Order: sequence, then structure tokens, then C-alpha cells
Amino acid sequence: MFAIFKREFLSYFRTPVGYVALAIFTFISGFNFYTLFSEGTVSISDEINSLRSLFIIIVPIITMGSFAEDRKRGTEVLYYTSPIDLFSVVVGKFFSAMALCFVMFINVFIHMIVVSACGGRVGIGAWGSVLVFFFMAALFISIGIFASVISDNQIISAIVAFLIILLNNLFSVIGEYIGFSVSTIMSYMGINATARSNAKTAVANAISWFDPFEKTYEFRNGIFSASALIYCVSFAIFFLYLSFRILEKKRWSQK
Amino acid sequence: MSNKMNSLSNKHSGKKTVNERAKQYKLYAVGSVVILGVIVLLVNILFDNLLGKALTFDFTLDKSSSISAESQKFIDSLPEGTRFRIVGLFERPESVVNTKYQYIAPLLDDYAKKSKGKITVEYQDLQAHPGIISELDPAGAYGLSNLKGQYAVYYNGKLDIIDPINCYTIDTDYLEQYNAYLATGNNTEYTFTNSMITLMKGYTSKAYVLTGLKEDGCEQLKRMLASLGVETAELAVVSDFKIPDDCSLIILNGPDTDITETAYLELKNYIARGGNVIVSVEYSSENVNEPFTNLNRLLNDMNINIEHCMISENDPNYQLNGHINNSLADIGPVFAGLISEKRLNITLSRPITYSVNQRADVITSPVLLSSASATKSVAGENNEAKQIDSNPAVLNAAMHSCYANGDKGQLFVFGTVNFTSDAYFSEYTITDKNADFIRACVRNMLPASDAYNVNIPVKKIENYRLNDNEATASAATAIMVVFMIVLPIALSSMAVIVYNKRKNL
Repeated sequence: MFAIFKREFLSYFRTPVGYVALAIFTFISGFNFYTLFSEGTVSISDEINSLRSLFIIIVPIITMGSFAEDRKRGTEVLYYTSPIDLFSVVVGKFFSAMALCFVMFINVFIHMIVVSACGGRVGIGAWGSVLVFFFMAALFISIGIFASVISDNQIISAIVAFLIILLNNLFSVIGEYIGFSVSTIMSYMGINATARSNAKTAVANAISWFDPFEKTYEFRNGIFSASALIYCVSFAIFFLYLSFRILEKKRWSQK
Repeated sequence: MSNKMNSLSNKHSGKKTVNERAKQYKLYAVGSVVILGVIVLLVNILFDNLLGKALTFDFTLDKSSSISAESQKFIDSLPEGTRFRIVGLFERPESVVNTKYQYIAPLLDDYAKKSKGKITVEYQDLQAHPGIISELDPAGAYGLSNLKGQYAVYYNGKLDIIDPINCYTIDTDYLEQYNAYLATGNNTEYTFTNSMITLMKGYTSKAYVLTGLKEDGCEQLKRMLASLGVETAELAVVSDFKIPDDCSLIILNGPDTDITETAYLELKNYIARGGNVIVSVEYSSENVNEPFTNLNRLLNDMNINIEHCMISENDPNYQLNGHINNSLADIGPVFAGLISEKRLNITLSRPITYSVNQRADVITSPVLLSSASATKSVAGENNEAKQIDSNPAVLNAAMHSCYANGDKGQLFVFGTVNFTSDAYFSEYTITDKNADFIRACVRNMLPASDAYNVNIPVKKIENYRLNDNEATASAATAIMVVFMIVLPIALSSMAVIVYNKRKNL
């Protein structure tokens, strides 16, 4: 697994992908930081939370080539024919993408040092946001790897990853809309207002329950919830396992 | 022939075995994914619903997003079926960070979470849900339609409105200078818990704050009194000045001008009828020429006199930051048991003395005493303190009078406004030792059953402000150049170089 991790991590810097991702992240985090700094008040948790919206761009960029690139080059067959566990291949690629995320995040650590040096405060909310950033990165990278496994084309896998991450961003909004739609349909059916309101809330809550952004919202205030982290980790494991099963299917496929 | 048949049969059975194995493998693969998916969902539901609360940790400064043991005790004491409804009269912002709701919204969520349904929290935009107005205030007594952005606490047909800004102690100097709020402390829990207590038990006393005498602001004191179950109202000192019958306490907070003759007579009658009065004055640049003649006539009837000078504290152990006019004072022996602190803060305090003619039916005791090294001084040129009495002595910064026969009616006179004024509480917050003391004084004046509250310490405010000397414009420019120009261009150049190298491979 370590060999896969090392190879994949270094490959980010042997192709433009790593540098492009780093350049985008550095510029946008720098812009956020500069804006706050010039106002004289810097809340690192605010900066990190706005950076989380970058996952939608960064994660597809760094994961789109994970398996699709191997397939394109024909090196994919090595995984299938070598006596190695495919799960360690998946996990190795996952950790290499996580390591790249960490490298990108060094920017924010530097911002933290600058804030402390300028008499600002790096509160517990900032560390909560750091924690959430990496747990959410784990979730979205596992989704990105899954997208890379299911498609032969890098662009398609990037689009699939983009759409799934976008869906994660919109769970609460979608929940509200579906809840409203359910309520409207019920009103046509002549169901009373209380039942409609309850159904609307129930549907909206059920869908927004999947929203990782809402689950981890309180970390920025310094309130840490283990269940939010467990959500990220468990779904990351689920997507990694799903990726592994698809690779296994390909390995043993008779077609 | 038979061998050929056998080989065909083996081949057929071999293919069948492979197919079966493939089928089994497929079943295993799909099954394991489904099982893992179900486990993931179940684990999350378990952690979210059953263990979520136990595994949530509040690491905020002063646990500002969690209710304290005092509030929890109050909630637990509520009988089953009690329903408090806290309604934010606005749509909850997606992010409350850096808004006035930053410390309020998470704490209210905690109230709802820990109250087992006794307290509910909701947000209703008045424009989107206008029905909420008639629901909470059918008589239209509170004018809720104009209170967008505020919170309404509803209990059993009664309503209390909480302006978010009142959940904070505010730097009054900053407000005056920049016309903007700068929070110095977070009173959210104090405000909401005491609001619920007051709604439940109702106001049992009413205090009137005299206005029209160029007095100081006392919004924080009003809040403290509300938490004690004392409703407050303003009473202007006008020509037909009259003290209402429902008045339990009169507060005269830092006037810069003297009371009128009419007010003197009305207050004299009020005290004679057993009324309670708190007077606080100070010796500041706005009133150095004010001897408070009428006020002293009133106080002299109760054996107290306000002097026309200030206390200069010469004992370094009593001075605060080496200032002679900003110092500590010992609590007098009669009042030592009111709070655990022994010394309280006084600033620009006038000496309070016994009046010349002493009434035998009134007991007068010192409340706050300076050290034995204090002297009297007045404002000299350029407002510098000029000593007028070189003999050091113990000077009283506050005194108390009451009737010897135990009749109702008490009088507290403070030579400093540190016990009543917003200027002091905005800096030291309403859970400071002086605030504790004035609360204890009010409890002492009003019948015990009338005064109640939960005293929750003011919580700190997270301050993300950078040091102005460090965070200069040139530092901001340097940050922009490094993080937005140099590093991204360098990384992009590396990407181009790597791309070109690979292209040529």
C-alpha cells in the first residue's frame, strides 16, 4: 500500500495536476485571507469554511486520473495480474490524494502563523474547522475515487465526482424543495395543514440528514460532534469499498 | 465415443461450476456492499440519535454555546407540560458567524436540546409567516411587526421581547465614538434564562428611574432588576412630578443637575411613606459645580449628606492602577455579609457623610469605606485633583439609612456611579462584584419573595481583531503579493514546465 501511496503522491508532481490544484487553492485561500486581513479581523474558521466549497473543483481535479489514467495508459492490468490486494491499491490512492490535500492546506497553516504573529486569535473554532476540512476531504476524495473507478474517461469521472459533491452541497436545499413539493401534493389531496407541515418537515429533515455541511456546521463554533465525523468516515469507507468491489469485478470479469 | 461423451460432460459441468462460482461471487459482492451500506446507515443513525448528544463536546470559550448548570437546574425544575416558545422574528441566517446571533443561535439550540421539549426554538420570518404575530400577540400590544430581528419568548399567553443587542454588554465609549457596537461580554444565557423565570413568576415590584436630570444611562441595571423580577420604567422629573402608587423603588442614577423643589417634596413624602430609594452621584467634570442642594435636603432628612468634592485614595493597596480617584473601598461591617467580596470598585466618588442634624428614629450606617489614608480633593486647573483637606481619614463612599422601628423604606446613597451606570457595567459586565453587590442591596430592600434570579456569569466574546500595529496596509499588500501573485504564478509555471516535459517524452 505504501508503494502505491508513494507512486501516486509523486505522480501528482510529475504531471501538472498537483501544481494546478495547488495553484488554485493557494490563490483562492490567499484571496480569502487577504480580504479578512485587510479588514483587520481574521477568523481562520471563516476562511476554512469558505475553502470547503472548493472541494467541488479541487477533488475532481485530483481524483479524476486515479484509475482512469491507469486505464488510459494500460497500466491498470498490472493491478489485476499482480498478487496484490486491490483494496490496498484503492486505499493507497486515497491516502495520496489526502496527502496532496494536506500539502495544499499548508497555506492555511501559514495563514494561522501570520494571524498569531499579528496579535490575532486562532481559536478552538479554527481547529474544529481544520478537523472538519480533512474529514470532509476524506469523504469527497473517496467519492472522487469511486467516480474514477466507474468511468474509463477522466473527464466523465471528473463530471461524476463534481455532480455527487454538488449533490452533497445541496442536500438541505433539495430537502426543502422536495418537502415543499410533498406539501403541495398533499394540499391537492385535501390533507390538513398540520399533517402537511409535519410531512414537509419530515421529508426535508430526512434528506438534509445526509448533508455533511450541516452536520459539521457547529465545529466552526467550537462544538465538536463525534457523530458528524463518524458520518464522514463511514461514508468514505463505504465509497472506498464500493470502488474496491468494482475493481474486483473487473479483475474477475469473464468478458 | 464414451470418452468423448465424458469429456463433453466434464467440460459442461466445468462451465457450470465456473458459472455457479461467478454467480456466488457476484452475490457475495453485491451482498457485502448492501450489508456495508446498511451497517453504515445504522451506525450513523445510532450515533446521531442515541449517542449524538453524549458525544458532542463544547470547547467554546466559556462554553458559550452550552447552557450552564444554573439554567439546567431551572429547566429541570419546570413541571412536565411546561412550554416555553422562543421565536426568532426573522429567518435564521445560514451562517451566524460574525453576526449578533453568533452566540445566541447556538445557545438557544442547546436550550431546546436539553429541555426535553419544555423549550422550543423556532425562526419565523414575519413577512413569510405573518400569522405568527397574531399567534404570539393577539391583542397587538407588543407591535411585533416592527420587531424584525428580535426574539420573542412566549409562555402561557405572556410575552417577553429580547433584542439581540441586549444579550451583550457593550463598550459605551466605542459606541459614542464610532456609533457602532463593540461587544465586551456575552449575557445571552443570563438574559434568556431570567426572561423565562420572569415570565413564569411575573414581575412583583416596579422600579422607576428618574430622568431629565442629565443622568447616566442604566440599561444594564434595568436588565439586572428585570432578572430580579423588578420591572423598570422611566419617570421624568417635570413640574407635575408624581411618584406612581405601584412604585417599589426609585433610582437616581448619576444626575449632573439637582432635583427640583417639586421632586424634593414628592420624594420626601415617598420616603416617609416607606419608599425605597437608591441614589448614586459622582464628582465628574460635568457636575463639579453642582452641590446638589435639594438632593442634600432630601438626604439630610435621612441623616445623609453628599459632599461637594471627591475622595482621593492615597493608600497604594487601595488604588487601582495607581489612580487616586479610581480605587477600592471596604464594604462596611453591617453589609459585609451581603456578598463574599470584601472590597468594591469606586471611581470619582464623592464622600458621603452623616448630616449635621441626626434623626434618632433613623439608623445610618456606612456601606463603603476608603482606607484611613484618604483625603478630600476638588477639581483644580486642567481638571487636576487639588487637595482641600490634608488630614487623612476613613471616608465613606456610600451610606445606608433605614427606620429604627423596622418600618419599610430604605435609602442607599452611593458617591460613585459604579453601581448603577452603564459606563461601569459596559467595562466590567453585570456579573462583576459591584453588580453582585447592588443586586444584593435590591434584594435587601425589596421583600425576599419578590426578588429572585439566576445569576449566570457573563461569558467572554471571541475577539479576532488583529493588532493594528502589526496588521498594517503594507503587511496586507505583502500577503496579497505572496499568496495571490508569487505562489500561484510559481506553481502555474511549474505546471507548464512539467506539461511541456511530458509532452516531449
